[in-house]
Amino acid sequence: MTDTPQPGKIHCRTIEGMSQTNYFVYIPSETTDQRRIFYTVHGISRNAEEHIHGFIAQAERYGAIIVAPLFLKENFPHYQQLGSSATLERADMAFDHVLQDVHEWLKIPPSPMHMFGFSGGGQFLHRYAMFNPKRVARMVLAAPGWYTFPDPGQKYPYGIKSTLEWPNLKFSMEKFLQIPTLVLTGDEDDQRDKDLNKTRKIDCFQGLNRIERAERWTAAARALGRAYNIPTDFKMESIPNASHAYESYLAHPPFAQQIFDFLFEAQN
Amino acid sequence: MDIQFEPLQKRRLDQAKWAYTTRRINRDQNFQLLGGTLIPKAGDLVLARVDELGQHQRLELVTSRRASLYEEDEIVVVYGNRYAPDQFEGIVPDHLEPCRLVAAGGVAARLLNRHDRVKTATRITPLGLLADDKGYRINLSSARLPKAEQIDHKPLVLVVAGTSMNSGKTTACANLVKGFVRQGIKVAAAKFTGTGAGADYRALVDAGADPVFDFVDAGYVSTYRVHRDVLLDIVMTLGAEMSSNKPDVIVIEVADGLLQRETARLFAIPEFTDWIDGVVFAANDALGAQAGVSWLSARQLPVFAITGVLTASPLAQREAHDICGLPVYHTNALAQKSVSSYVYSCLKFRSQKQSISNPVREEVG
Repeated sequence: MTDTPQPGKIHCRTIEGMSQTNYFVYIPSETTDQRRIFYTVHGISRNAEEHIHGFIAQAERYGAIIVAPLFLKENFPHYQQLGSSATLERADMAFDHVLQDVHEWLKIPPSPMHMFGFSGGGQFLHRYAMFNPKRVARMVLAAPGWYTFPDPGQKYPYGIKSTLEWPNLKFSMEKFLQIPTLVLTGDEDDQRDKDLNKTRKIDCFQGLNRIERAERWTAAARALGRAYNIPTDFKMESIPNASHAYESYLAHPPFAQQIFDFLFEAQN
Repeated sequence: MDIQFEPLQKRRLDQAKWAYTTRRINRDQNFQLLGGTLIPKAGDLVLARVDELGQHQRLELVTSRRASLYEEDEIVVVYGNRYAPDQFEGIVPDHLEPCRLVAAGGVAARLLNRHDRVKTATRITPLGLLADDKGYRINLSSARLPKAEQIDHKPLVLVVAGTSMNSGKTTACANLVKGFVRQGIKVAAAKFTGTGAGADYRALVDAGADPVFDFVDAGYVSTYRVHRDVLLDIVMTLGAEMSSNKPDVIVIEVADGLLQRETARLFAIPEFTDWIDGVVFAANDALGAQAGVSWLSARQLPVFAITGVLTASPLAQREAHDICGLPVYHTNALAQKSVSSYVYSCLKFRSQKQSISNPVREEVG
């Protein structure tokens, strides 16, 4: 695939394979800092290009390239859980192809990555980080509906125990716990809306809404960090007036800046 | 001092029920019965007659089988001090007068206190102390493992402590052992404090630990009212014996609650605490878990998970998790390979970190 990178433009690239994967890339108009690649993963509205638009100002300010994969519903209906099984529709593997293409096309190192995921994208992101903790430098999860808890007593994707569909899982939790992680929730995102997974299994263990679930997951990660005697940096922040709509997060002016500040603060 | 010797027929001794606490004594020897104005000591073997059944209507034999007791049965048990908040407090009497059976494992003592919900202790009459053919009284210390000055090998060491008696420690220990064994990890296990009880010992054996010891192997029938040096002796003796078998992990149960005097004393012995890589705390409720975790953390002891009776309640689990900020594992889940592998990884990770920060910890002693 050939395409000359053009600063100040959104590129759409397609990777052919078992399942076609598209992704969007934005290259800043002025200078580009090769260390600053911002990966953003959409929610179930699959608005990858909109994600790019929402962060262009920060990309210009930080000299950061933005990469936004698009997981089409027909190819990756369960991208939030990385796939429907270890062998079917693996969105994380498709994402790895995106990384490889970005690496070859823009000559930038594929990892460690600074990543953001919204809603279903937050689900994808924290699970991707559990499977590949060495690749993720820092991450921001905004409003995931539910989580994979670092609990070996519960089966994946609820916990990290292997199943028939996901056999032989082995996670390096001590590495995962060392990823600085910010969980953002809208302070009005406590509704049990139609998109929220309301199964009893999730309600009883994770909580009744996205705020409770975020609190419990963050606490569980911190607790396991304490068990490993690892100083963890898992924290939660609230976005004022935000419900679950992506626009309501963007409507909070410091939202995008807050994400970049957290992801790239160590590089400033 | 008026001492009487009486030869003992082998047949009579064979018919007597020998308690679990006597399991290290060689029965293929000639015994005499010592009577008179003797002052028993903890660990002395005593032949006694059952007078009236009370709380303990069965006696754990050396095989750990719980044999039914009948009035007028003759039993061989051991004088000792007993600390059991859910049952009895007993101490070694200063005479051979009638006393009580205060533990199913076979402990004779003078009864001091009993829990409201238990019957009074079974009444027994000592017939005399057991002595060898030279007339020396037989004490558990005569059949103990050799004393050790140091522990050479350093496997991973996991300790299970709890809020109190019956908080789920023994079940947690057995499940931890089972979980490790299921991963192919070689496990040794021991109970360092408490009162000699076959059920606890057998639970570890049944789960697959090998070898398994308790303080009886170090020559002590119980650890109530013992001196710090005795606790250190148990740590060194059992620690060295287990380590010499080169297990990957050692699982240790500490009896009763952290506030029990000897338990607290054990956790103040540097030779013990420096040896530990992790502590799993068993609690009856979330408030107890919080108190225990705080108590251990204040002493810089590496508590890293919570389990125990409280885990039967999901809400209590959540409370404990929230207040303690530690993973809470259901007691039964500890036997699962998936959970156990993370407990092991946690233990190993902590051990490596500790070795880096304190490289000179190859030997204890």
